[in-house]
Amino acid sequence: MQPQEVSEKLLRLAVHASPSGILIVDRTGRIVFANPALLDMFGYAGDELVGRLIEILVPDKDAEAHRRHREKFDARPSPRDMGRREYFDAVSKDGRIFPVEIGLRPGEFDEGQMVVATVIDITQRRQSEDRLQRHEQHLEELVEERTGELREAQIETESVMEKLIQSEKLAAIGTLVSGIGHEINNPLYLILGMGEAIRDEEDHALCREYGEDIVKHCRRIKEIVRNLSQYARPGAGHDLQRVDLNEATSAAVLAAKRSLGSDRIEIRQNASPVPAILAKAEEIQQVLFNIIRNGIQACGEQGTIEIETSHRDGRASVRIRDSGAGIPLSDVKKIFDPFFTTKGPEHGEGLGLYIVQQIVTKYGGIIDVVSDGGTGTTFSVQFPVADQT
Amino acid sequence: MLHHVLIIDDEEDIRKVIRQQLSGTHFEILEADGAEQALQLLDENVLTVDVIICDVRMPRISGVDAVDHFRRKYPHTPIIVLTGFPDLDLAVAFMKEGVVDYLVKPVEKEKLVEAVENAANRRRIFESSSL
Repeated sequence: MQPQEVSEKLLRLAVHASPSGILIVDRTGRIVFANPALLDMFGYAGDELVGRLIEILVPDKDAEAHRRHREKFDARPSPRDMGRREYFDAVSKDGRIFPVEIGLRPGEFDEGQMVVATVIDITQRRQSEDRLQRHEQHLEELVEERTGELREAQIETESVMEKLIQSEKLAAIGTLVSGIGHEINNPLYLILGMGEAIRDEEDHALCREYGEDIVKHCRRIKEIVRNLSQYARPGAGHDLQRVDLNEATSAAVLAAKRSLGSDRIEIRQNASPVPAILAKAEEIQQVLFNIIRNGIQACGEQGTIEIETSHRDGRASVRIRDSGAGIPLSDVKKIFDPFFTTKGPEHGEGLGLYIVQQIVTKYGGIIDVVSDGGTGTTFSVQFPVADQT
Repeated sequence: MLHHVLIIDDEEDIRKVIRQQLSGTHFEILEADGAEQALQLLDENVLTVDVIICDVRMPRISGVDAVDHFRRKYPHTPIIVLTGFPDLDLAVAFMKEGVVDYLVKPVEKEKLVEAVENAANRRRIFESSSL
């Protein structure tokens, strides 16, 4: 059905029944019509508003501005649609000020120029929006507060970590000093004992034997000190060379086999091409030799050592897995401690893995160990690859 | 009077020096290279061992565990800990455990002999008071 086909009676009914306030104002600003919804909204009855200036619906504070605005609008009338999110304050008969949204539709009618205004009370909408805004603000405050807490927690964590690292360093120094004390005091005791024996002994041949022992134990102390000082120093750049991990592995395997005279242990090498790393070749060989030797010792009578090289994300890696007895969980954290050993004195001072870690760290590498008592041990050593240029 | 001393140390050279330091005196020496062998010797000679000299760092069973075991099984046998660890906390822990002396290597002959004699006297006093 087209609008022109709608009867005037029907249109009147629609205006009468509309939930929005509808107001018709002439060009002098006088109200000529107000529908029931508008009367209800502003608290007026019947024809109470007809003939009154529109400013009766505007709070006093805005009345003068509204009048000027109306005169400007009258000079150049143009429609203003609803939904532009422009709020105006209105005032009811009993003086209650409330927000409204207004749509304007000017037009020429038989009665002259008129403006049809649609008015919606947006009190509830504004309240909802205010609540929403307050809620958003509250959320923002919560986020801010939480972020602050997290920031503080992070600062605290960093500070605790720093202290922890410091205390770990001190603990490591303590372990080192205690270990050095132990390792040096033992041969010192032997030297002292032999010295006392020479002092009290008249047999020249026996004295000579004790003298030989003293020399042997002095050499042992010298070796301990040399090991400690050699691997604690950072590598000098000009001494470094390009080292192929596969070649270093082969050399280490050969050395480990020779030194142990072991042919009961099967060593499998799975070599993939890997880029060179920058290091001292003999130190990298020592790293691999120490780990392989430990693996062979862990295997006991027989077993397998699997060695695999790989390259990923700018790092060259060697993985050494033995089928030996494994390391008890309680010992895994201690294996890199200086002088920690589960083997007898004939197998060294317990500096092997300490030296390994010192060398690996010196070249910016990472060493990782995975072991569970009874199921073997896997060492993974990663080094940053050398610049390709 | 002859005292029987049991030396427990995994290093043969160390046992040799201790033996040497105690030689020429009135000590009869027994040697063990670890806690297992020491327990066997003690079981066989419990009535004759007057003093135990025990190292701390040993493979398999550590000196800490060994001392704990000896104290429970042979509470009247005095134990001297002889170690390379100059560690005060460890010394206090051992003394609390009931060891009679904590000596740090290198220890001179006279001091070791004195410590062993003191320990042996302690054993003798205990035995005479319990008779």
